[in-house]
Amino acid sequence: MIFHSIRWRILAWNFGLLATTAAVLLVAFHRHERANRTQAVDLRLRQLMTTSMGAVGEIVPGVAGPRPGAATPANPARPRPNDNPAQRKAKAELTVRELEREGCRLLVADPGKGEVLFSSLGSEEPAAVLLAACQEQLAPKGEEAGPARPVDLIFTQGTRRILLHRPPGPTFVAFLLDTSALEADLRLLAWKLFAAGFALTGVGCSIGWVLAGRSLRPLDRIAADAEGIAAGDYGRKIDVEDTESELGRLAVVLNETFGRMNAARERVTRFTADASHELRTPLAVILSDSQGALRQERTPAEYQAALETIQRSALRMKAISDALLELAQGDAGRPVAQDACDLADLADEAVALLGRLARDHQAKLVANLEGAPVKGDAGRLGRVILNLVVNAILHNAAGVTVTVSTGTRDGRASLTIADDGRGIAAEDLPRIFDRFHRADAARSRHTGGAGLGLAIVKQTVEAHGGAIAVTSEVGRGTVFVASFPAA
Amino acid sequence: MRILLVEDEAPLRASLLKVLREEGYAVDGAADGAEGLRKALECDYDAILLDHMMPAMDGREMLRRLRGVKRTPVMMLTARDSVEDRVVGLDLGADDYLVKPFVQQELLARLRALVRRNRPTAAVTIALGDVVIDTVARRVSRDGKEQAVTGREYTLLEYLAHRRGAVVTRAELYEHLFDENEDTLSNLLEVHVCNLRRKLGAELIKTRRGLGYVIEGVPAGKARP
Repeated sequence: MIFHSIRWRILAWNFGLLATTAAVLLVAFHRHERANRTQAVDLRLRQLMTTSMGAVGEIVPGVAGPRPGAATPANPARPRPNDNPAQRKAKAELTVRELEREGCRLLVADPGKGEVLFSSLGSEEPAAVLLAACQEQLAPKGEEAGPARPVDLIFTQGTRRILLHRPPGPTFVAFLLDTSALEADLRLLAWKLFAAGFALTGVGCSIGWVLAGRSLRPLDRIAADAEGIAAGDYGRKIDVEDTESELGRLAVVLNETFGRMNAARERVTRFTADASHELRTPLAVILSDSQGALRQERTPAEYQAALETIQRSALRMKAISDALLELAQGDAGRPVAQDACDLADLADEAVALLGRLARDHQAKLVANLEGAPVKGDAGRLGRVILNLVVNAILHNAAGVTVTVSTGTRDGRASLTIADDGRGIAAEDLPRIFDRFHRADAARSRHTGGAGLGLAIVKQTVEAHGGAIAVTSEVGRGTVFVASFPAA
Repeated sequence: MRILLVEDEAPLRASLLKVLREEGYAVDGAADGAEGLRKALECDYDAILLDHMMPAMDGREMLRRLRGVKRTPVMMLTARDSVEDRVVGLDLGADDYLVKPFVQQELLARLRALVRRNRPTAAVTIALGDVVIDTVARRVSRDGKEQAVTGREYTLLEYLAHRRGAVVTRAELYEHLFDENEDTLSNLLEVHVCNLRRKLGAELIKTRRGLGYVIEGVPAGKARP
């Protein structure tokens, strides 16, 4: 649907607002114009009335009289001396003709009798229709019927503007001005205004369309970049021009999100590559040795040697896959057993177990154990201690002293494994808990490790609600401190 | 044919050394990049098999340093098989790439191809009169009948056949046919030449006294138009 497009929706709103505003303004303007022009017509009518009432009085005697049948002549023009009635009449008729030339018609009538006394209307229009209209205007509205009062009112009838003048008396005089030219003018003006409004709306919409497009363009760019990233171009970044704008903030948030996802993806990729590397190396040995052994007839001793190599490699693969399985189970959030155990007992066991290894490597094991009760999986916690102590023995030269201490402080059970060995380089320190990270590839390869031991240690400690930290100084030794919530 | 195998994984190194020796190659082993580089610069190997991930100096670094000096054909062995790893390896100057774990037959075939590529001719059979050498099957026949030769004898014959028309010194033969553990003062070379003459005819390999050995003929790379 086209109206799902934001740009089109903005355009539709824009159009609606513009069209309404233009319509309201232009209609108001048109009404104002009409009122102005009508006022001008009314003014003209009044002027005409003022200048020609005398003439009308000449033509229709008694119009200007105060009352029907009144003896006193009301017209102040009349009693002038030396007035020749014939002359006056002729002059009055001249005035009426002049009125006609100006487009003004006259109607003098007695509404009471329904009698037209004088009309300069064209023959095509029956005076009766006008008379009826005038009578309607004059009819008292909501007033008690009484003697007709003087009236001076203006109204529109058809294409005429009519000034209805009723001096005191039964007759009235209507001055009529044709307004069809005015109406035509106003219609033309209306069309012009309509066209102007239309053009204005069109221009406004075009500008709106362009502006909407411009302000939405970053959105298109963000979408294109995001699509590119989704399609596998993981290193791509969304171009941020203005980080303060709404779209800029969106871009920043998207960049952060994509960055985190990319980092996670890279970790997984690296982990997979490392895992496959670690498994492939012993697999290569197995394949090579078995194929070598089968190439030709061998002595039993050669077969045995080959089988022993193969077995060693297979055992190494087993150790790696066990470690990977343990990590995977930890990642999957395997619930931790809640047995009551004591880190001191576990450390004691570990030290006893590793006595032989320590002697072989001429390492000195020191236990400094105080009760440190915790809740957890005794087997897994025991392996944590074993792992850390074995690392301390194997990664250091002969003569190293490894101290295992446990204790409880501030409501936390702590386990410390310290050695006075060669230490870990500062640049390696942040990565030692990473999976497959090996500070010294050659050494740990010989010990059969795959670089998963410390990753498992960290995972196990954290699964027990604990934390592990390491400090090390090259040439001075390394200290691992794990702390758990005390039971 | 003398090969250098640089591999830090001791069991794999031992296994490959054994197989390559059984194939008749003279093979030296190196446990890390530093040792490998030293040996590669010391001796003109016919090919180097190079592990990628090694302590001390990894395969890439060793290759980069070697390429500054020598053009010895190198085949990378690696447990990493991402396209990126392969591209980087090849761009550093490796001639071939084999992903672990590999099948031995493939390793050996690729090694033969690698060595063949640096011969004047890439033909798989070499005819020397009535003697025909099949470099793929590593077999020798005389008058259409196959002659049993040991790996070392075959390597010696192929080496001389590739250099036919030119005298090959005993020192060069020792360098290419025997690995570092063998006693170059022994008369092993004479024994192998003697065996080949017995099997393929006394006239095939001629002795240039005081110089070395030669198989007469036109060198393959310099054949008349």
